[in-house]
Amino acid sequence: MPTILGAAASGMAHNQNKLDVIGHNVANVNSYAFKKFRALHEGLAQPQVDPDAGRLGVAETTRDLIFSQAATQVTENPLHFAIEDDSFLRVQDPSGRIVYTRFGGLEADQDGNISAFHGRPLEPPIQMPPGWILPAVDQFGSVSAVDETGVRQDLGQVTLAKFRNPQALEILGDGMYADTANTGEITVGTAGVEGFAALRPGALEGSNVDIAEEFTNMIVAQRAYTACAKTFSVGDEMLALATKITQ
Amino acid sequence: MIKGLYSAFSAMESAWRYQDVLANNIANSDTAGYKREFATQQPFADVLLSQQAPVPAPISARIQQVVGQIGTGTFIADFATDFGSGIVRETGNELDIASENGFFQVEGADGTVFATRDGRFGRDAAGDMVTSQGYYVLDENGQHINLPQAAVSISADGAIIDQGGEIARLAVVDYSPTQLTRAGEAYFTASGEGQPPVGGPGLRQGFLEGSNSNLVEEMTSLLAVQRTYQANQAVLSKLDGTLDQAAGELGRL
Repeated sequence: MPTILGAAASGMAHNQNKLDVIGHNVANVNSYAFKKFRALHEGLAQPQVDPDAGRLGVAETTRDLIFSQAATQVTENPLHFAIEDDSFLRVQDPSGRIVYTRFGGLEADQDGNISAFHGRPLEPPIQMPPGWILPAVDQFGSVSAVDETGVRQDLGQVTLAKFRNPQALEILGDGMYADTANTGEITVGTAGVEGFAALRPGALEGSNVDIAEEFTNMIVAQRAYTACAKTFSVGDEMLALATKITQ
Repeated sequence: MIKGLYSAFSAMESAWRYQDVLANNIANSDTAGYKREFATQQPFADVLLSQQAPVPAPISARIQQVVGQIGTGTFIADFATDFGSGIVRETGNELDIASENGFFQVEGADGTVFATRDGRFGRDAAGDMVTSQGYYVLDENGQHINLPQAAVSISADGAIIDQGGEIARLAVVDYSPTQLTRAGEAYFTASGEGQPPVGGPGLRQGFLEGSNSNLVEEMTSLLAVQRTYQANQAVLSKLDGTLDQAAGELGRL
């Protein structure tokens, strides 16, 4: 395939990917603790590049997770907390594996289980004995409830984790992440001690998507797509001309 | 007439090669640290136009008489890289770094050292500073840089600083354009030693240099070259028609 068509097609594919990512980000502008993606074209290094081997545009689109802190939104719910540093809440997925989330909206079900989003148990699990009421979480992640005699007692403490390379986390959906071989050393701890920031109770972290930024990127990606499509059709027309040199 | 055929063909050929470069620039309008290419066109060296002496003349007189010169079209002399800066945008990411002067040094999987302006860095599993492809970012002594877990700040002169002070200093090297060979879209290999950038590297943390290819400019050139191609195709087509007449119709008389 002539290089012009290959390069133009690669540019179109990239801008398509980029628009997908932008759509995903914009759809999650109101999702609590959502972390946006950034799509960029990656100029791959080719050690022995031959200047005449042809230029095939760019090889791939990279998606970087952007873990910048989002604005905290006050919810006044006593079981909500916002994580204010780069750590993650440790929870369990249905198979019992430890997974990680930035979403600090805990909930208590009718059996007294204190769980994270969608009923996922905390790691370690925290349970409220029957008859106890008013569960709440404090800035150190300690979950407490009021017993039958009206005394507030501790039930347990949520644990947090930090990664050397959070970029490499696997995305599981629902704001859940799993560690991979590339996330590196995991530091587990509790809020407010040894390098872990205290939590902000009664609040949730918002989404770090910036609508103005996404729309700007969208316009640029759309125009770049158009330019690549035009380039493709120019290449096509030139090929058609080449076949018409002689009738 | 035959020479005209080759002139038109060589113009079409160089238009194709030029379009390839322009298409690549357009496709890379969003590639961090991409440096656009441009082509320089040159005419072929003129060839001498000569005349044969008339047949009755003695053999000695049949040496060709030069009556003038004729060009035989153009070719792409060279692709050159435009090392102008791309647009620097704020991203707010800890390890996005834009360099004002000079190139970062990164080490590929096979130990090859590349110079690049693509400043998207991160940590790998061991905490080493790497590019988004996992290439190691080198410090001024050519060593890998191990970053602490906590955020670091990077000063304009390349010093990486955490709470305990300076950890390492990023290598930022300036080259003359002729020293650099393209190795991919945003990477270059250098021949010979570079120099420290005049006026310091001028690094900016939380910023990223984009591509220096400008869609408007590239599209304009693309369309202009397309028309050149079209015009030469028309010339070729006409010459073909003329030759057809010469070969086909003249013979029928």
